[in-house]
Amino acid sequence: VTATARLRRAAREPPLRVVAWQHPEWWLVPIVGAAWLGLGAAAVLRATTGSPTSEFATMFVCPILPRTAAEFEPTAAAAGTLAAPAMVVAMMGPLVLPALHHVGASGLWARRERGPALVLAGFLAAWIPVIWGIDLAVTAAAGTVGAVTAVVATVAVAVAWQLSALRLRAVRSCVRTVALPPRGRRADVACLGYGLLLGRSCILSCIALMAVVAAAGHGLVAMAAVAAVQLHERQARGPRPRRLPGLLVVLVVGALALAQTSA
Amino acid sequence: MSRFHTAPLDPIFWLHHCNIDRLWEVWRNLDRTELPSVTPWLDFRFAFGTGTARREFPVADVRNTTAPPFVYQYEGVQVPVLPAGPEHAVEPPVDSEPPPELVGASEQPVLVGPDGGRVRVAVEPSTRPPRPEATGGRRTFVTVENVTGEGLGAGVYAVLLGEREIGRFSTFGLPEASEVDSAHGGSGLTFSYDVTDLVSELEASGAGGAAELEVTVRPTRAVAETVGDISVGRIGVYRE
Repeated sequence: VTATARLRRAAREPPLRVVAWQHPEWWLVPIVGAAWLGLGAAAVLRATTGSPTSEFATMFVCPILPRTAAEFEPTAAAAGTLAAPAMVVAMMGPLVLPALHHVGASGLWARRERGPALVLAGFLAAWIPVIWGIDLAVTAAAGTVGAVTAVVATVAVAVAWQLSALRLRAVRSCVRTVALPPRGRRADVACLGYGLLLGRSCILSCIALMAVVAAAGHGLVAMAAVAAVQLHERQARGPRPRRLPGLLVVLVVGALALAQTSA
Repeated sequence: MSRFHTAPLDPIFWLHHCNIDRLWEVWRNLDRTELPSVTPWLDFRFAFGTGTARREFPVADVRNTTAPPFVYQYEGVQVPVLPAGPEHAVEPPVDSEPPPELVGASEQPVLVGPDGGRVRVAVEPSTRPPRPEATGGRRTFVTVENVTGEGLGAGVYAVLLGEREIGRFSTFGLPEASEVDSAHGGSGLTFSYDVTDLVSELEASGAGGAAELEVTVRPTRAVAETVGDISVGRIGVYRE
């Protein structure tokens, strides 16, 4: 059989099956897409009905931070709590795709979906409580010292963190691979542990940007900008990650949040 | 020469790298060679020098020695005549076929001390969809994955399948690749070896065949315990 004949035969495989063979992590892509669609729908809903300002601009930066304790909205806080997992999946899902691919491709064929799914579960288990914590801290700070002070403080801490050596170290550890046992409960536990390890590195490298997103009221465009910068940083190849795009996003989103909050 | 950060102090380092550079030019002048065109490869940046003399170059800018920023030409780039190697009756997979499959791996990391380390790997039957036209057989690989260590260990280690050596690896760069601060994020180094012929022999010989493979990693020369141990994260067996 000639190579050409083999190629013709192989080309008859359904394209989606070939994608699934080559990319055991494929299923996360539609999940990430659905999460972004959900966040987009929520942003449009918030911009057109019942939001504090009811303006299209709230899609960019939504001033949901209470200026005083009396302005605290339990409904908005509850919605934010429920939206946190979707936000983590939408923003962090693309960052963890290479690790899921590695786990799926280097595992037994029968575990090609199970291994990556467990890694993702560990990753989300690390991130979601942190997002809740960030939201709680920023909201509590706004209620205590005022929204403007809370936004300024968040941006200042975020800039310092973005420039720190600790963060640089965390960015590099995001690409770490670990040897996983091939089968059984030991493999499951190792996959979960690897997800937690990746989550820890990702939290340390992205927490400042996520805090600024929280200070900006999880505006859709702010989230998209931060997600794009995070993805760019992860895909950049070279001796050290570039700090400028992340710093610019922190400052621009922070400035918009400050303008909205103090308006 | 064996340490990443001090190797340039040895004159042979420069001869070695000049020859690698020349071999690149030899390869580039071959008729059938084609450089990758994917962005991650073209955009990968390397830093040279330190302080104010530090400069970064992307791969895309340094592929050709005759063009800026280098502009130099080798006199001897003729292709050496090599003895014909063994011909494997295998066909490499194409992109639209199922990828190589892990069929066995060690359950735990293997510590490799002065006396080496040994592990048995159970090899399972393939559960992957079969390749449509694999008339020539499939290649089998043994991987030595996530090798880490704080020191260089013995410098060079041999990898054996049963009693037969299937390859060697050097620990050059190992401590650096094991650091969390490194570009590898502390993943260490990974090596792979084509063991198709040897596994075919084992399968043909019967007596258990290749259902369980014994893999040994051991220093190629006697070393003192003080040089440090290395750890192999996993030994894997892959089949195309």
